[in-house]
Amino acid sequence: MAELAELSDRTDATRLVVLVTPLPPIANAPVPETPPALTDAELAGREWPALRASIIDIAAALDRLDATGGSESARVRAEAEALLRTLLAAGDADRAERLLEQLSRPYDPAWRKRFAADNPDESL
Amino acid sequence: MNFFDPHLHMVSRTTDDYALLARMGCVAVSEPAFWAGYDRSGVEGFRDYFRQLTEFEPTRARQHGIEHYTWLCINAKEAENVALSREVIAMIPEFLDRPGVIGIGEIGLNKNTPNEATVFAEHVDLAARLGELVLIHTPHLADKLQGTRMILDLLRDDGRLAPERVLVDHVEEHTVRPVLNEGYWAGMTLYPTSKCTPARAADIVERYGPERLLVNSAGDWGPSRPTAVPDFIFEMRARGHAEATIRRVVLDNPLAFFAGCKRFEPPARLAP
Repeated sequence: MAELAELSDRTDATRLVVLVTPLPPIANAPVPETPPALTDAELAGREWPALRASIIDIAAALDRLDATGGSESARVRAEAEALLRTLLAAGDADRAERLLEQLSRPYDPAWRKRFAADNPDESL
Repeated sequence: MNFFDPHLHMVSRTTDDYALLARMGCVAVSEPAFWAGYDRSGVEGFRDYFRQLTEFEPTRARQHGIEHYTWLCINAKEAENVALSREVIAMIPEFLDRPGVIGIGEIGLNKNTPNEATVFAEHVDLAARLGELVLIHTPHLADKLQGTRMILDLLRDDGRLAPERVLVDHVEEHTVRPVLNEGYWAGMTLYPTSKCTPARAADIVERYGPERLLVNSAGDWGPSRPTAVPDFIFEMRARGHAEATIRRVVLDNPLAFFAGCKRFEPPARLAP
């Protein structure tokens, strides 16, 4: 659905919530295909320019946030720094998944009970 | 390479986009019913929209050799109005037998509210009773993980839809695993600043394999690129993937899923 609608929701959505409910283990996961044919040097050479640019973009954005001295900028900077700490602490795999989990509201397996309590006339 | 974009809101795009897509190898698009950027004032607004999806857009697409398929529903953003939602759901069967209509979608959740869950469950009931395929929108940003898990719960509660007849869309790294583990098809939406990028979608294909994975542009009236699927093709090629693997994700998989609709006729350009 439309990305503008997503962005309009960002004020609420950027609130940091630590995921407390772990995802279930991989069960019957599809078998990955043969890895792509790029060599180590080819892959490194391909990834480095974009990685370098992205890291500099982050640094420059943090500088801009600092320059304002405002409380909202400080909040966003703190959230970004928390994500960077997660990134660096995530180990050698699944970094994107860990960051997305950190940016997510937690899943409550008992959500049906909560809904039923809030809306006793509706049953799901 | 020929490709099929299974999620593209062409009502929001220009005819130039159809022309460009055709030149890039697009043989088919499918257009789920979605939010217009404002809440419609009543059920007749949806009737007009469904006519646009089933009459005007297929004609416009055909002028460029592209097959146009569509999905019908009231989207999650308007599902807070349960009474209106029920009127729309009751009207959908009038349109289901029209050429190109594939099923019920994109239904789903937006803010994961009780009303959204109620309307989602009633759409699922309609699809189960009529034997229709289902296309599911998963929520945005911070709501995606919670909403995706709730959607899987609701599908399990109903229990009548075979997983191979359901496509769960907008998956990312933190939601793709439970969707695939439960046997559903999974769609990856390639957006400029949210959802997946072509590179991250290629990462997911490398991790899980091409089985039951699709990519789409979800091009609409917001920041989006209707040519995002060709971007994915080029990303996969640059990584050295076989043409057959790429074709499976961008053409064979959508065709296999859509073939579950009893009314589905493959794109004319693919005829032998």
